[in-house]
Amino acid sequence: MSIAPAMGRIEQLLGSRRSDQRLHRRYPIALEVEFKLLRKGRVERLGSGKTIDVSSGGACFESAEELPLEGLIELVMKWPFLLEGVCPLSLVMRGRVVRSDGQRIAVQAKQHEFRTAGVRASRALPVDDGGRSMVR
Amino acid sequence: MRKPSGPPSVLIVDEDLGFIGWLGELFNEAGYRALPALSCRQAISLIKRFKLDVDVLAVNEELPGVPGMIGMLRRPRRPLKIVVIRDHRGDGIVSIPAHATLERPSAWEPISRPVWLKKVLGVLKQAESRAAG
Repeated sequence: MSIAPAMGRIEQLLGSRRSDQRLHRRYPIALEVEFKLLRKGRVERLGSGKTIDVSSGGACFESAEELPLEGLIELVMKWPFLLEGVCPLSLVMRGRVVRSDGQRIAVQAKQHEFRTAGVRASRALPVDDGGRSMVR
Repeated sequence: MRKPSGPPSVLIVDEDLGFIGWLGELFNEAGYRALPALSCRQAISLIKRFKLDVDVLAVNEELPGVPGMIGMLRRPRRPLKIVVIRDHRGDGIVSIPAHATLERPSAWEPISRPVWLKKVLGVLKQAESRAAG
């Protein structure tokens, strides 16, 4: 009996696993982060910290606070550059707290996007005051 | 296009959020102002809205809309340097006109900041010289 089909299936599984790992590989990036812990659509707690690593699948950050497991959370990570020197850019990630271990908090992302967060040099550019997604 | 001022800029367009952040930090250390986008659509929105003047485009060639975005970024006097971001399992064929390529690390490859900074500096140098030639 040929084992080729089984080997093919194993390779397929390994391939998809590799692909997932590639997509969710964590990179050591230190960005300032502000978080909102959400409950029933309301902000329950605010805090700040610094990221330890970031991936498409989530982020791990350091904070003085311990957060409840499975809690809904929104992270706003500050990109270190202003767009054309005037407009702050943030990476907004929404997800759930999957680990809260002392000062390290891991978040599994459900959604992420870059957002422009308003204009520092006002009237320099015709953009909104409030935060908005870059995709329109 | 806005008159260039300050450090040169690099627009990083890739779907991998972690890799964008990682490259952003490295380009920053290399003296560049890094601007991120998760898709060509996002990048085009930024280019239009902020009239971005980009010196280097680092882009995942597999994303839809790459040729159109490159067309928008080309300038008459200063050549746009194009760095293609590729998967480490790529076949070696680059489908867009690139001045340099940057291979994404495999899932198991340890990543070290000094090694990757050297890699990024090498890629920038190669792109610069090829674009000038």
